[in-house]
Amino acid sequence: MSAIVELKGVSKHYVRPGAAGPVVAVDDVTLSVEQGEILAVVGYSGAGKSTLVRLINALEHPTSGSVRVAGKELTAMSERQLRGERAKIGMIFQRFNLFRSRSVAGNVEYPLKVAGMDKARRDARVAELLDFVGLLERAHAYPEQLSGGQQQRVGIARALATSPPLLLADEATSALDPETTTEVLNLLRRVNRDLGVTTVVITHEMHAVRQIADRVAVMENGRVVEVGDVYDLFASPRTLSGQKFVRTALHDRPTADELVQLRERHDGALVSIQVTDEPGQQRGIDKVFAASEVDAHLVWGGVGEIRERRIGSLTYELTGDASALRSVVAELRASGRGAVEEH
Amino acid sequence: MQGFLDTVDVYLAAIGQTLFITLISMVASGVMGLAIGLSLYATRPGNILESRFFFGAINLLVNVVRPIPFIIFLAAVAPLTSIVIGTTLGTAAVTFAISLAAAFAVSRIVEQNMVGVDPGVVEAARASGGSRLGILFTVVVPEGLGPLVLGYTFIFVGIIDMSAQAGLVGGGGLGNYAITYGSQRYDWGVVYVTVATIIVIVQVGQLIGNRIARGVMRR
Repeated sequence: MSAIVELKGVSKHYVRPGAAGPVVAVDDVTLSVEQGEILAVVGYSGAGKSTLVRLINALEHPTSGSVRVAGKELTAMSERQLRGERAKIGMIFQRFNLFRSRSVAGNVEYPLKVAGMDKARRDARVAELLDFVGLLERAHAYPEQLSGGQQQRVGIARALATSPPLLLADEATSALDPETTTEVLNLLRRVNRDLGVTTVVITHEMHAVRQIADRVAVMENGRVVEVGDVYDLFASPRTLSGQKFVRTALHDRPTADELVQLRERHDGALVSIQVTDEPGQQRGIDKVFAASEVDAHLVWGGVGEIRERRIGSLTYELTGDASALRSVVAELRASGRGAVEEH
Repeated sequence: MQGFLDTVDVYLAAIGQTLFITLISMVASGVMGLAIGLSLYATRPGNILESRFFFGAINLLVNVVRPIPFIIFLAAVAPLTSIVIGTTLGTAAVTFAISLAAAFAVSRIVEQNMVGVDPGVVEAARASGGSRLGILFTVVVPEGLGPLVLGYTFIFVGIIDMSAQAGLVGGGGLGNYAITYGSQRYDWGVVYVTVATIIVIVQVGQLIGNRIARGVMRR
């Protein structure tokens, strides 16, 4: 795999009148986006992810650092050259940002007009794109006559008009209800798999990340604090930010409040065991319990899949004498199949 | 009413003059106002042709000219009128002054409506690779056009108002008619017929403006 986007030591500072110093939106970020992948950039609002994505298509210019897209250094380009490069990068937005004065077809046609394509080819391309997003029969409707999900599909068709190899999605599903979110995420996945479009998804919703991302970058205060495979992030987040985000989508462990309630009803020791996709893990756990003098009782749990790999955790109430408990926990740990947490 | 009946020919000619002044002024101030307003919008800090200097200069000019009461503006602009039109009296001179005064008002309306255009839409156009000027004319103007037409209709009423005041300097039109044949002769019939006529003209203008705006906004 080769990188289509390479950010090296990129920072972006804003000068705000009235502010004491410059506002640091992006702080020394080095990150690459590999050809063909879906990379999710997650972070709370104000973490700098929207600025980061705009550095990739040069809507924002970095204060320092290097931005390379498809091997070309953007920071050295004139505005005229950048326009050409932007046309090769599609972008969709949280509020869709459709042209209200243009019909659905007119919106999709706009980038083609900018690119100077002739009318006959434009019409054919618009029809092809609207067919792809399933809105061919709404070609002559206006944006306000469409639902949010439909509007975002028009946004996607518009972003793909010039067949860009790279698509940037800025909180593309944050304004949509859960059902429509899934529909749009599935479409983005299809764009990635069927058309081979590399995609950068900016989001604060871990559910979206879980559904479509191949890799994840976690941002905090303008920095990328953690990058990795989506399964690895969910299985073992290395940073506090990463952990917090994972918990929002994977409610497999009791929270502190829920633990208090669990303790009221259960007198024994509470232990959470992480479930991974390692074959035979469940059998291993059962064996450890069966061989011990401890009584294990399942009280909490959640197991799901990410990228078709099993993930989650199970919380047991263990009763028995203290030394037996200690040896069971030690054995579970020694089996090395997923982390064990004593509450 | 006898006074009115005796001057029907003057009355009809006055309607023609008022419509002439209004029509020419609408077009001229519309074109000039659009140019000034778009310059204001485009050079505004943070916008596509950002320039502190140009924005400051144009903004100052508009702010200086706009609050001047029209009747005083008419006198103040007389030297310029004389250069451009060749005289400071009559319908053509008045039309020139009105067009100029209205252009500054139109420019603010254009600017306000353009500023109201969703910046996200402009960003989407930039992300598509559009050029600055291209985006201004193919995205910003069409997106802000509906409310702009409504604002422009509002200017229409202002122009009718100015055309009546201009009657004082021999500009002709209904204002002139109402003063010369009405109030100065204590003939209130003439005055009220004129008032009614102006109301009808304004209503028709408003109706047409609303229709166009609705067409543009598809509501």
